[in-house]
Amino acid sequence: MQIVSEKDINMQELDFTEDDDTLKDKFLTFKISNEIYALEIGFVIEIIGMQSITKIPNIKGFINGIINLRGIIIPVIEVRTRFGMPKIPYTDRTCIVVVNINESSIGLIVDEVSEVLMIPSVNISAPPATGKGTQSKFIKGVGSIEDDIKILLDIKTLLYDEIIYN
Amino acid sequence: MSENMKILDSDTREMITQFVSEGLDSLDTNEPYVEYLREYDNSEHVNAIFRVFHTLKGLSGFFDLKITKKVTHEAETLLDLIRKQNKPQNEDTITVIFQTFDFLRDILYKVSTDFTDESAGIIAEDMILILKDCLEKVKNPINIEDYFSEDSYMLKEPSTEIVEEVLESDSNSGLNINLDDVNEEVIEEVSNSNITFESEFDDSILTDELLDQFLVNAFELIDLVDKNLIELEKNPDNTKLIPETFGAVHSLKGNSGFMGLSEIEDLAMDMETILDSLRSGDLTPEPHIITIILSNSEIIRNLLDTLQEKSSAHTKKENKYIESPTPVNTNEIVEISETPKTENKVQKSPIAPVDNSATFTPKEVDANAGQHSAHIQKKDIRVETIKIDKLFDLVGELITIEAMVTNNPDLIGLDLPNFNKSANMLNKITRELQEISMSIRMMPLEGTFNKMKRLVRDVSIKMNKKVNLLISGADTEMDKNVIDEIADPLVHLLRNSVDHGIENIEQRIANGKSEIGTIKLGAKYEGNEILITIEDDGAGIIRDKILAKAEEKGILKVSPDLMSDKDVFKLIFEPGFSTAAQITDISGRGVGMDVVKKNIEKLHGSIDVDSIAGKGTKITLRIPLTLAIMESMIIRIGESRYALPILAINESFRSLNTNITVTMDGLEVIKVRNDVLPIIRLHDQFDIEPDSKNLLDGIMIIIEAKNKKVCLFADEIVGQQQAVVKGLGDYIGKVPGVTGCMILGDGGIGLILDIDGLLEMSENTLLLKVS
Repeated sequence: MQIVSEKDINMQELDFTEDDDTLKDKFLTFKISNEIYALEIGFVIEIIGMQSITKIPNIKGFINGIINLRGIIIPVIEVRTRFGMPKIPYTDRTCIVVVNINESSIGLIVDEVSEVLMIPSVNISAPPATGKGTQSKFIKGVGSIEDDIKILLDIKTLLYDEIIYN
Repeated sequence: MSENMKILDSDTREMITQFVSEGLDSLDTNEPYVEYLREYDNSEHVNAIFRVFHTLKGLSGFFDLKITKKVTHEAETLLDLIRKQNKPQNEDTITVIFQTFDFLRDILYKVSTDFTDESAGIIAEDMILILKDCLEKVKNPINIEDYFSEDSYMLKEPSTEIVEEVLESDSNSGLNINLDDVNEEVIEEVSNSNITFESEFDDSILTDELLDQFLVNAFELIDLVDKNLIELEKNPDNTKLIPETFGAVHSLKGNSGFMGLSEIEDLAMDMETILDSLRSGDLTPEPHIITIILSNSEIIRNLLDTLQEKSSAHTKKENKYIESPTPVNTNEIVEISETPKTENKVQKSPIAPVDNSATFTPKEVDANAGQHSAHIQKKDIRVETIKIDKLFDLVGELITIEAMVTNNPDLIGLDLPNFNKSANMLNKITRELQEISMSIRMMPLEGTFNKMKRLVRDVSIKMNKKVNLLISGADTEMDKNVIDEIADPLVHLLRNSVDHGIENIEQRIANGKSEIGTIKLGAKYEGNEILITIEDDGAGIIRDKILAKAEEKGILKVSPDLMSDKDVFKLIFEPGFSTAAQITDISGRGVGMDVVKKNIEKLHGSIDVDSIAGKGTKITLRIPLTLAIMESMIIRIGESRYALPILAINESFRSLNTNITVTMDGLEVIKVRNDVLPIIRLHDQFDIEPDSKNLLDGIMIIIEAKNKKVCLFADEIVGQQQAVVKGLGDYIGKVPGVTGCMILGDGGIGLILDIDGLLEMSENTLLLKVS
């Protein structure tokens, strides 16, 4: 199991037990197909390297299966598939971001984890109204840092919303 | 006092929580005794119930739960009256007492969340009226005024020296002893005063067991009191100690009162009075006050010592009596009577109740009673279930990790005699640890069964039927979590037995049966399962009636000719099925029974129904002893590994061409000796690419459940493993054909096959093809 601490991410900052204040406005960013997405850090428990996934028959397509994280069974979903993008082979940069929602842990497979960012709430604007396609459902807002734009993901829709692709 | 208590610090909250849990416990354990009030020799049970109310009253007063105190006070008065009457009580009174139990339970639930009982005020008024009304009815021939005047007369006398001393020494500081409280204690004292210490001790009502328990408890309490007092003397500002000490003294007073030990009771009462003043701040913990209390506790200790000497002399005699005719270890007796097959099971299954030294049954305590000499050791402790669950989870993890270490892929092909030796020892210890942690969670079914007594009584009165409930095997132990799950199904089944099973009195007489119906509720071990049976001697189930109803409701899936009686009877568990001609408020809405089925299936159990029209019905629930750990066979299909419960496997073999046949509708069947079984290709079922689709290449596994068999086809058997069953989690939800998963020796995950689901699936495809 490879922990991605060497990639600019201070694992201490990811400690879930920190005060709300210190987690405020902090986002974990990750890459899928060259696009940067951001996730509120409060949801993130840890980041682990790719590991073998046990497939489960006859379940929703975007759930890849389950993994054994130190004795705890965690379902993992492929964010690419969720976005309706084609699968690509996993590389050594592929990561599983483990998030905690409604007291259960779920793993998100992402192409690459980038960094932890401060995006003050004044810099966050509503998602573009013109957003079309299913993807826009997952966008909670758009954060701008200097000239850069990060897409803030709505973790709850990402995990729970029923979306059927053709 | 109320001023102090309004501010609830976490200590007080904890104490209240403990009070609620103990209160609920004592309500549950003593509720069955209410039934005995209708019998002649009921004093033992009246005392037990009285004590429930009395303790609750004392403690609720202490926690400033005014409403609880009021209600319990009324209930106590009623019980006191009953106690004095010492005669059988009528049904109305019994119903009122049951109502009080229910009411108190509700209040306690409220207290557990709100830490106050104020919200129960209005309903409490009703309850108090009911109790008062009942009191009037029960009232003995003596004029009620006499009854009270007698008390007020006594009030002038009872204050013992110490109370007086306190009163004197503190008369200036405005010490105000609550006269009502004293008054009540006096009533109690009066009622006990005719029982002397010696005579009561020899009385048969007081069993050795009871006395032993009392002594263990009393020593603990008095130890606590002394410890706290000494601490308080050193550190008078630590007022937190006072409530705890008060509680201990109060319990001691209540217990000794119950045991008829009026000397101890009096002494404790005096201590209580002083502590109460300390608590309210009317007295300060001066050394001389502490000395007074301590001197009382010293006397109590001496009295307890004397009592214990007598007790051990007494039990020694008893023990000899048991030991001499049968030179068997008492522990063994317990073991044999509990599980006839224990020895077998300990080796075969880790889940069976293990070594008796690890099961904390009351019996165990009995068996050892009298062995201790001077000092009685504490034999059980109260532990939060969360802690036990956590321990259990950790043991589960340990087992997983142990398997991961000893079956580590890195070790393959190495010759490691020393490692293997250590690994074996580790394995032995982890299994033992698992067995013990499992046995901690094992509880006798008694509590649940006792609740059923009450239920049957209530329902039969409502239905105007006479029903006698016979209970057997209440000492059968099951996993606590499983017990919680089966309570609901049992309620439904028993309701149904009384409502639909047992005929009404006229019908029974017309059918030549005794007018009192009998329902037998029993539990026993069978292999790795527990069998719970509910058997009534009622009208039985009429096959044609069920079939007609099923047809009408459209839940008949198979032609009736193909269905055995058992299959037909099982239709009553289908959702939406109800045959009661008339919907009663007890059962017959056609919900309920399918809940039974669901709950039992959730426990991986099964239901069987046997019935003879006119004679009665027998419903058998088969429930695994525990859900948490499974001995399993691991099989492989392509890259996926699946686990099968060993218990479900009949045999496995490689098939020969000659015994496989394909029917004309494409169904593959295999002939095994005299059986022809359908083959389920697991790779098709789970959409996996197997090593080979040729039936001759892989392995055939015959599984059996609920008297049905099918043959599974997989690539190979990987091995056998004991593992902790884990759920797939809410996020994934229900997966057809899979019940959960387990972590395998190499850290991978195996999915657990849903045997019942597979059998059902095969049945459906079979039916599809037949029709």
